[in-house]
Amino acid sequence: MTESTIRIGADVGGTNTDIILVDGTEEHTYKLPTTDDPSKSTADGVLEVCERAGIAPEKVDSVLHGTTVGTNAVIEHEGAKTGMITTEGFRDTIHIGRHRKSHTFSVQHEIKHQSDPLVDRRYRKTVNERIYPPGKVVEPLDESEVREAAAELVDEGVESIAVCYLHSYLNTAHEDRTKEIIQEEFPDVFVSTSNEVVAQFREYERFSTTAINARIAPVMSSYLDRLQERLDDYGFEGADVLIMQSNGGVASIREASQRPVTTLLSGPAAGVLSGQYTGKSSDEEKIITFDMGGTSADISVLPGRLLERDPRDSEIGEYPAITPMLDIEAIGSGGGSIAWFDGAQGFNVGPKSAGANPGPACYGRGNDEPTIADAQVVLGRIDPETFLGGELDIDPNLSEQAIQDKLVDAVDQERFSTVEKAALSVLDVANSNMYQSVREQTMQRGYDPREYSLVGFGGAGPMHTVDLAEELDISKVLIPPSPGIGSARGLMTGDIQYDNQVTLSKRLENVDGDELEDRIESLTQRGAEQLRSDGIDVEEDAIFRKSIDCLYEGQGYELNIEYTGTDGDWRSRIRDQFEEKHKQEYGHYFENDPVEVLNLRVAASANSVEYDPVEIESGSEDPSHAETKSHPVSFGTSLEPEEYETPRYDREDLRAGNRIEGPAIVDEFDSTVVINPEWEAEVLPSGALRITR
Amino acid sequence: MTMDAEEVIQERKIDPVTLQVIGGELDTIAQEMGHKLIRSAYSSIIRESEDIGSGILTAEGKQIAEGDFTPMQVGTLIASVEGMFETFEERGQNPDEVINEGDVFIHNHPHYGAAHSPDIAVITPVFYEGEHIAWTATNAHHLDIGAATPGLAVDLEDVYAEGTLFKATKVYDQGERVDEIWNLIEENVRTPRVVLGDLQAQISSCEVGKERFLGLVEDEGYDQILQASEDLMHYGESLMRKEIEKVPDGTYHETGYLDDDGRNRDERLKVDVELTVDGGDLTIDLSGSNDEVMTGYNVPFRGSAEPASYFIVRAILTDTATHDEYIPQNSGTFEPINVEAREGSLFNPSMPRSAFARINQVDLLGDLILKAFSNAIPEKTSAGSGPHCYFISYSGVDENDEYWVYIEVNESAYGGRPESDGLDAVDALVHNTQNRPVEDIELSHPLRIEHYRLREETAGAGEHRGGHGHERMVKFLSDSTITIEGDGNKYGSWGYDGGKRAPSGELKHIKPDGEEITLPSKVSGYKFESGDKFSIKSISGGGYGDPHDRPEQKVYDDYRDGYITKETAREEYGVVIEDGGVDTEATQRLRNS
Repeated sequence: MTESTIRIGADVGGTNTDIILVDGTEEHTYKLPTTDDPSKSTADGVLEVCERAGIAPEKVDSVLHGTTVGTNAVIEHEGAKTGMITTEGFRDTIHIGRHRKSHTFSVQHEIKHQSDPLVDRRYRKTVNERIYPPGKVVEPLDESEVREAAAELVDEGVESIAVCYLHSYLNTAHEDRTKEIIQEEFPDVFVSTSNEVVAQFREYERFSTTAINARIAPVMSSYLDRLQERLDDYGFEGADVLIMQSNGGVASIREASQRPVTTLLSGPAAGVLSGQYTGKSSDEEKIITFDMGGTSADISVLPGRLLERDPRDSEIGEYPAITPMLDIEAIGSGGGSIAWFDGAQGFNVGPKSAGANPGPACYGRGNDEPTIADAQVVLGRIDPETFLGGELDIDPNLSEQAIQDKLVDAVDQERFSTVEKAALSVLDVANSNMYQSVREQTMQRGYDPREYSLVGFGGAGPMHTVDLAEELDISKVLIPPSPGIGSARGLMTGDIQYDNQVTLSKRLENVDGDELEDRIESLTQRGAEQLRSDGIDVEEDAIFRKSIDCLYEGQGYELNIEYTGTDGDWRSRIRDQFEEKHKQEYGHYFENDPVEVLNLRVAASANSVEYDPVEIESGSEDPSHAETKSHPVSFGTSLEPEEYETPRYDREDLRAGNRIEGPAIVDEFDSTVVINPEWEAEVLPSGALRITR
Repeated sequence: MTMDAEEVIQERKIDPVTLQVIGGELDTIAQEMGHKLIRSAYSSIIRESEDIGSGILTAEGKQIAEGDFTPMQVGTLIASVEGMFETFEERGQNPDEVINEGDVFIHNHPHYGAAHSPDIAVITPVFYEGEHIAWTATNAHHLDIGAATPGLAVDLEDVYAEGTLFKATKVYDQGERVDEIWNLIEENVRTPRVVLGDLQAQISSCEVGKERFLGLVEDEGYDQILQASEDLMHYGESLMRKEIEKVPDGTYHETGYLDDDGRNRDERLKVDVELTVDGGDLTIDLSGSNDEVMTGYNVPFRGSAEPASYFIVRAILTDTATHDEYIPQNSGTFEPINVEAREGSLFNPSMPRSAFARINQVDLLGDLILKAFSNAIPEKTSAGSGPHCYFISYSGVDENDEYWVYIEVNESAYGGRPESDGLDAVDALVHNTQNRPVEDIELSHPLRIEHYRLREETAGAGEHRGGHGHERMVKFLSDSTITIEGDGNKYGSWGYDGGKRAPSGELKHIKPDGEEITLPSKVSGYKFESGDKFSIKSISGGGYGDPHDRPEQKVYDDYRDGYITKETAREEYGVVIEDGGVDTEATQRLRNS
């Protein structure tokens, strides 16, 4: 490890681009509005943060980037004009999907993959070929049909082609050959084969993932080229540019351009890493990350490690995308979520949202519905003078008006009898929605949230974190410094990581030990090659995490267990590991039922540079030097509101060792930390607040 | 007695905030129960199609919470618990003595509340401080229950031919496994490992529900939860009444036909729906429908006719695509809806008639209720959907003399809608299962799927055309037996307001020499030999509005996408396509003529 590595993280959001520079134990942050072409604000921000830190661009070792370019292309149904070549008889696989309606109780709804198909039917061509389990060719590939189909597509102006054949995860020959032919004939056309993108069974999900990849690859690679060019122009030629992926690892521009579908949860994954980092640097193993912004909140549970989402639940913008991604639950609760009564006097918070624009009522931009942020304003938790450094004018009267009109005047209910009570009711329901989500992710999997620390960040997170902890009976909360740029900080901790997997689908007793070992080895080699292409010394720095997915023969959902090799009685070992996991997940297991080995996985990663926490100046326990003012703030529930005289502190002036007794509020540029009565905050050397009770 | 929504709102006792909080908790518990079941189940009809239900009920059998899975399971657990109490009474048992902590009951009798006998409910009592306070329950469609034919069955003499029937049968008695019952099941079904495994998964999921619910009781208090669930019922009820009040008062009547009963091929069966709206109340009378039939093609009233009716009304009146509010998943929304069916009729058969195969009748029932509503509120309905699925069980015996059974739901399509075309190839109106991946089928069974794609040229023409049904070709790689529970081979789906009908479905047995045998919509234990093929073509949706009002660009897009030919564009839509584009002038002339 070289001393004093200089790394810059740049996380692009819909409104702002967050930048963080770390030089040893020094940290510099910067925020700027995202430009239409985000490569501009990214490069500008990277340059600006260097200037502020007094560091020359050529000194920078790496730029780590969280991007929404691919995600936006999928959600907004943009991207390249895409074609598909698929097995005869299966032209409509991505249109039929799983023949399920996206709303159960509905006649009028649309199904996204039908109303906005990833590939229009006219650009889906079929060719004669067929592979059948266990991988035999029952009909050879008709190469002339491939040439014809590709020529027709190119003629129509298609820029990118997805090649999707049945059972290609068992035998890649036909897809590989098809790619070769297309590349021979049309070298400028981008080709994605389903076995390269995600070699797993279940054709709809694999085809959909491949089509997404094909659709966004040309967009992504030209974006990354532009970014590289701009950075080069600014003098960052020497820096490695790395892109955050959904799995929490980073990839080189080369890999991210080939498999951009792996970057779809780039930002949220960086958020989880940031929470993990905050936990680690405060010696907390088990944490729940809580990242709340203007329109939604991302929640993830880390029982000492990152958890991956079940591939069958992985989707982007209602299209399945089954590449490995961190298990992040997004719920529609953000600062802009609207509180409203429906026709039957049911009280709802969200899913309607005023977003960042027009934003909460207090922004005065035309929204007159009360939002979560408006509730915080009338309770006195948001200070109009310091909000976003005073850059944005907010009018508390508008918040009050909205709550009065839409909630207090709407019902004859004790809990909505005053503006204050109504505002507390908004928070009660908003917090309860978030509580349900955490509960689903912890207790349903046998994790006890009371053993966890809750890490809160994002623009709105630190206002709700202690409330949420109270609901969950959690007694420890962590708030990192500058929580509004939380995700960017997470970028700094990402390892380079490439996941490869293959479907085996064999009964455990019929699995040949040598074959198993061989296939794991070939996945390992593939990952090693990818790392080597990024200039990594594989022998020295690479780590390979090997695992297998098992299920009882006949089940539909696999469980992932660690692969421990084929020494000794390996079959019994696999069986024991699997049964233990099954018992933990579902409460039972079967002693005699046959176990199937479904998928083999190898995650290849390279040791990243240690990111040492910054250290802030230390001081005494007394925080009074940082106090800015004090005024009444409401806490409690809408049944029993309690008003407390509450001091406010400026976070910039706090020193390590300062202790703040709740109720108190800590303000900083992009965020407000609320410390409830009976809780106490301690400023850690890293600048993070540890709030306990 | 009629009621209006405002009166119902007045009856609520808990404030809106607590209601949301407890309501969210209850939903989460019921959802988790179902989720665990799906994840750990063996049979694809549970794990892929998700044909299950889950819920919590009071000790007396009133619903507290329910999971959101396939609509046909909605509310059926209430009927099953009711059926258990009827059983205790008939047996002269005192429920207080029979029901003990640690018991697990199974129940699947179609004349005692079950949806149909393959749906076995697992029902476990919840005790708190020694008192029986609630039930947790799950329902799941099992792969085989030892009926006359593997998996599914249509041509059955009576309910006793359905296979293995259970009425409030204990599989655990005060924590002790009742081995005799487990042995009985194992020895009487064709796929014992699958059925026993899935029952175990159901039991585990009831256990999880019990644990979570007791946690909630500790936190909130049982009385508070009961009050909240009652208020949530009232909330659901008032939401529904408000929507019914918007429908013009009156009686709306529609009739349709089913192909046959699975034995008497020439006798079609009448389905008759009379829908009466009176303020905030809705009555659906099915009494004009056919008499019960002497095969398995009858519909359990409480377990199927009622849920299907409730479901379709909810989908039309509180459509979640056009409603943002939280709609509680409980039976309160059904309170304003009264379903009636004459005893001894197709929708309310008497003992000992069999009611194993009931899905097509309720598919048509849903479609006719929707059609009746289209007389009053066409902006919330659609043209005719499918409405049928082909429910097919494939089976055979492998080299170890063990049975393999695979049950497949073949979807249909939605009719054209007021604002948009019908959905293509989706599960029929009153259910919402998932198909099984072709790769999964081929990895597990000796079948090869030669195609699975949309059925071109069949969608009902209209300003908003119907959705496309699908076609599937299955090649048998070994000798196999199938049973088809299907309908709609004689009648297509109806068009609305100038929209065109869509043609009926079609099933064929194709032999290696090319000989084609057309199959009826229902067969029981039909044989295919290795190398034979089976062709399935499902019904597309009917058109909505005059096809000549369809924008020519959309017609041209359909042509480019291969859904229609130039000839269809001209004949059905009056759109003239020449040399890679629409001839707008010729189109105008044709459309005006």
